[in-house]
Amino acid sequence: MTQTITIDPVTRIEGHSKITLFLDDAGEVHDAQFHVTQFRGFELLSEGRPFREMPSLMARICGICPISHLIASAKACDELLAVRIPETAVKLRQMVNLAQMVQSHALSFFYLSSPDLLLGMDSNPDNRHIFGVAQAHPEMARGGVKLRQFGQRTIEILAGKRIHPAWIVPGGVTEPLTADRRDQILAMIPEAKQFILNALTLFKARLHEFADEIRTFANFPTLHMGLVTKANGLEFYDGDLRIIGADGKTLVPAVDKYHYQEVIGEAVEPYSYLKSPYYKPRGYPNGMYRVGPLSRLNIVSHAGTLLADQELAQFKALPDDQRQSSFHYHYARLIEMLFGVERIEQLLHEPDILSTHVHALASPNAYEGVGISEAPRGTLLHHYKIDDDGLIRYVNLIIATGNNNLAMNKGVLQVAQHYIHGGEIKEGALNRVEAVIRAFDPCLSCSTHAIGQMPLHIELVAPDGTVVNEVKRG
Amino acid sequence: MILVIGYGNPLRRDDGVGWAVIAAIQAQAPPDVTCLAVHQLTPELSEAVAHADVVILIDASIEGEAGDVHITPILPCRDGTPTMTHHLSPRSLLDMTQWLYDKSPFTLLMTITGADFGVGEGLSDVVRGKVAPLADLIVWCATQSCHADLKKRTTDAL
Repeated sequence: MTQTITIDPVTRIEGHSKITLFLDDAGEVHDAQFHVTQFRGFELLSEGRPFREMPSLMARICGICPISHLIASAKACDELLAVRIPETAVKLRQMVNLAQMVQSHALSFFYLSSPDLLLGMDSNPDNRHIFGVAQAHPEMARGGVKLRQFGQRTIEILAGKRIHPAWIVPGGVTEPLTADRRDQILAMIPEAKQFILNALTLFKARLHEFADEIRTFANFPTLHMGLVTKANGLEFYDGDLRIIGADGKTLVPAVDKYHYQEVIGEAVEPYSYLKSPYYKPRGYPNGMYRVGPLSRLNIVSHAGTLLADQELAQFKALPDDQRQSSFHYHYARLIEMLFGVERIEQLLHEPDILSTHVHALASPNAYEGVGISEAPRGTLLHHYKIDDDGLIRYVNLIIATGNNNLAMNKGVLQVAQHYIHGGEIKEGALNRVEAVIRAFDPCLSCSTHAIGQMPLHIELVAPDGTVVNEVKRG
Repeated sequence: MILVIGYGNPLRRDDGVGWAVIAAIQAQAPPDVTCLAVHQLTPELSEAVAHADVVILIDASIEGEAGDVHITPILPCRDGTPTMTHHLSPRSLLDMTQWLYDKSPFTLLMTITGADFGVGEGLSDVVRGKVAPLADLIVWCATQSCHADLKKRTTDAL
């Protein structure tokens, strides 16, 4: 008789989900489903609204990643205006996007995943959380708090407030940077860099303890997608949207953003509100690809800053099969944080960074706009169409987390098949099933546009559909 | 230094009373008082808490009659096993502060029971009426440096 295991809710991730594991007659896992159980539907909510409202409306998709949506939305609106925004505005937007990445990665690495990485996957679950880390590794926890503060404070200094700022608008930004505020950000940079370097040192020293997880955490060949600079460096704001194969060879050097639907399909499964984007030429589900920190580092040839380039060289020296492991999203997050802080420092030293010309004014000059940027969790795409009155008539959003949906499902199956046998879920196995999802750092509030928190639920389902075991947490 | 943190969602009417009290305190610009208005308590606040002599947390409540004000001293204590560690209870915030910075400042939680938590800005009349007295008392206590008996005086006055 087939059995099913359900994990509901999944803990230490952003949003609400559950996992169902299907067992065969021998009690071995033969299939897995990652269900995202919340729904919002901002695409429809937006129809009929003036396009200039879109950045502020889209920022409301998420309290964790509002800047990511502001950026992609503003870029789509720039296209509707058909303006080239001032260079200083581009740099200011780049900085705020990097600050968002740093604070989000800090939350993921230090608050959500460091309990697994520093205390152990099999450690006592009653103490396996950020408080446990604060007790056992207070320096590391303080570093996490400081890095999140760095990102949030930088956003606040640039954009006026941490959450849902109205500073990023179609055509640029509303206010220039002042010397005083520039210096406030610069003053935080040395400490932020040092905290990241400390975390990298500790993380790399402990990697050997996670050989099994590196081997089994969504470790399989997939395509990777992400933005790159013209010189194939790390890019979060603009650039070419590149798709490479697992062998590192480029499949699509630069997706034409107005024809992205010829390259990316969006499948829907009945068990989840999260869409399953795929690389269309390979069909569904063979066109599985990944996005986010791991993919970005696999795609680029270099980062573009001194310390991040040194760390990236070490990452690139890992064996090929390890660089495909989603466990290394954590490693990639640390390197990207380092890049983010260094790149913000570079931008703050640009000679025109205090220019007051930061906003291009125009009326709509196009009926269609597509904005693509890199959110912390991966490539984010906003696609709008407007009518003659500038009212929104069509919205399509491809959210970073959704891009990873197929890989997350396959990753859960891989981990479950490795750690769960005979229909029994041991605590360490349960944690690893969650941890593979956590490695992707999904933001389900963003990706399904949902209401509520996100704990975890695992169901073990028999061949006849009977739920034979169920674990709920959170 | 007194740290006053008002928290809640100002787009859900009375849930934003903490923000309103903060604005009323800031309007008086009292010395030695640091004010923060935030949506929720997060681990990042622990550093500011660690630097304070007294911490006052101001939140809306759903318990009791609308307009009720409760002042409760808070001690560090972890509330359950956190699964969403980017927001904390008042006691957990103090617990985090103690672990990270080895500090545990005297802390009061002031709650005002709301009447209307619907979507929108602005407070109900009964809650709005509590904003100025609470702000005045906090400012008065800061001015008089009477941190230790803040709870008693605030309770008596209300």
